This record gives sequence, C-alpha cells and structure tokens, in this order.
Amino acid sequence: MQKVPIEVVKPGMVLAKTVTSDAGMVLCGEGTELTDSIIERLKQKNVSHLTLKGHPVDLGDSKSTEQKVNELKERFSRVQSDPLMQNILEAIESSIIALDTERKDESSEGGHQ
Amino acid sequence: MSTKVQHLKVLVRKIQSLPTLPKVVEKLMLMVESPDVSPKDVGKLISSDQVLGARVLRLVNSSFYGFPGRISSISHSIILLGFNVIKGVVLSASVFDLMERSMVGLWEHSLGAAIVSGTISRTLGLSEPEEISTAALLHDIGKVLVRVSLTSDYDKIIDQVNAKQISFREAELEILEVDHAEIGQWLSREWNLPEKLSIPIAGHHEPDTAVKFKDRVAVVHISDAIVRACGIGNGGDPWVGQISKKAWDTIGMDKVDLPKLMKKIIEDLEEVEMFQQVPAG
Repeated sequence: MQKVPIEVVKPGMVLAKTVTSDAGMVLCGEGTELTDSIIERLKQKNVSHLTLKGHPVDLGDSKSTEQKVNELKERFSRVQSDPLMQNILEAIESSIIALDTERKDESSEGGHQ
Repeated sequence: MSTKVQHLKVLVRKIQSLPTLPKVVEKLMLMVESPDVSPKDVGKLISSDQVLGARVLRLVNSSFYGFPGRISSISHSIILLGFNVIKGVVLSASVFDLMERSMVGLWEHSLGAAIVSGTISRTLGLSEPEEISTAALLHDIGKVLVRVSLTSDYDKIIDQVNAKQISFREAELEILEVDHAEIGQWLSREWNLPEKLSIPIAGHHEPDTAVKFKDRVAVVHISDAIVRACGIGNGGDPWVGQISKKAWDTIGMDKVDLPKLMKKIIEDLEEVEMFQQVPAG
C-alpha cells in the first residue's frame, strides 16, 4: 500500500482504498484499476492523493532498510535487556526487512500487484 | 496515594478552564445519557456541525472499526458502532482539534494506537474491538489537557525530557506529580465517559493495577508501546516503554505468531498517513 499525489498516478495502478469525498460520498471503490478518465474525474473532484496497492511509485523519499532497522533499535534502547521487548524488536525487524524486500520485488517487476 | 489526590486537586484548580468543547459535543454528552435517545436524533445533532460531522465520518470509516469507506451517514455509524464508540469518536475529533500543529505527532500516535488495538483485538478474538480502539484513540487525552491548559508546565516537561533524556511520563511525575493517565481519568469523569473507556485511559501505564476490564487495559497498554516501536507519531519522547509481561500474557499475546502480527500491524499503520491529508469533496 502506498499513498501518492494524484499527479504521479498512471493508468493500470490499482486503488488500495476507497476514495471518498469530504461528505463521505464514495467517488471510487477499493480495487478499481485506474484509467485516464477515472484519474481525470478524481482530479476534477479535487482529490489530491490516492492510496495504491503495492508500492508502484518510487518517490525517492523512502529510508533504506538499514536506516529503518537502526532507528528501530534506537527506540528500544531503554528496554534492551528485557526478553519480551527483545522478541518484539526482532519481530518488527524481520517484518521491516520482509516488507522492504517484497516492495523491491514489486517495483522491479515494474508496477502494481 | 492521598498526596497524589491532593496534587490532582491543585492541578484541577490550576486548570479552571477546561478546553472548551463545541456546543454540539456538550449537548451530545447529555443526550446519550437519556435512555430513549434514537440514533437518528444523535446523527442529526452531530451533522448539524458540518466540520465535526465530516471528521466523525472519516474516523468511523478508518480500518480499525472494520467498515472502511462504507459508512455514509452518522446515524448509520451509530447503529453499527454504538453510542460509546460515537461518544469517544466525537470527543477525540473535537479534542484533537484543540491541539496546535505541534501536537500533530500525538494525534498520529493516538490514531496509530487505535489501529494497533483494533488489529490485536481482532487477532485475539476479543469482544467489542471497536470500543477497545476508541479507548486507545483517547488514551493520551490527559496529555492534550497538559498541553492546552498547563502550557508552562508542558514546556518544563518537554525541557526535562530533552535535558535528562527521560520519558514524558517520568518528567510529568517530576513536575506535576501526577501523570497524564491520572489527568485523563479525571477528564473522563468530567465528560461522563463510560468505564469501558475511562479505565483503559486511566490504567494504560499500569495495566496490572486495573480491577476491571483488564483485557481492554492490556490491549491499550501494549498498543501504546507497539505504535511507538513502529516509529509512528510522537508520544512525547522517542522511546518504547516496558510492556508488562502480565498484561501480555493476560490477553494471550504469548500465543500469537508475533512476526506475522507485526507485519500486519506495520501495514495497517500506513493508514495513519492518510489522515494527514484532508480529502476534498
């Protein structure tokens, strides 16, 4: 799942979240494969961001996996010696690595799920 | 304990002006006490404040309530989620509105805790996950009060956190001699929140002392730490606090597939970003 500005969205990408107006009206449903005309219509409704399936756009702003893991360990610095907290840290670390690997694979396949 | 109570009393006197809630919210709090109020009446009242109505709809459509993007009216949301949840949602929608931009991190922390609580409650099959998420959404409401009504103390607390590298709560206890959990408990009483919400708010740092709703208190306590662990939002200091092993085992967290659960939580937490951008309509 990735949230991106509507300007970078391309046809063929798939919505991971229903787009609603401020009043709660559904503009476009989850799972919709976007087309030029749908993107145009959402722009006309002043929608600024969309949440897409997978991680189809490289916005160039994401941290490296190593950096994420280092920051994670920093946050756990006060509870290092506790076995339960250590288990949680390891579970989060492995999830971060797994998710980043999946995303790399997706973007090297050149697109959405 | 008695000195604690005294300190709270001093604080309460200092606070005097509670953050003013919109008239609609005050009316709502009275209205839902009445036994024969209908979802339609409450829906009408909330919708009469357009901004509040839109915020409430966004919150009830978040994934932690389990009907993402599908609730189109407030009266419908009341039927699906119940008065307790709506009361909590309306409160958080208006209370967090009081916060300045500098507290956007606390709002993200709170939303994140609500999301984690929803995921944990559903994974463990606990009853009324919507109410547990609502308690998590409100768990740090005492911090909002410190920020809004005890501004100079708040600044001192932040200074202490930075100077001594201690947690926000440790600094609160040094400066105010009570913590935000206790202030939150007092606020909950002022605002007539049901015990299902007020007990987790009061006990989220000391879950083992809870005499009632232990499961709910445990979930909120654990979610608070996990949302920090995942690096979402800002709870006042950058560290993950110690999770009570007893609380962890009470709800059966020792039996879940932790890596799988954490992966789900990290993905679910991406929703927090969604709230930074107000959708146009």
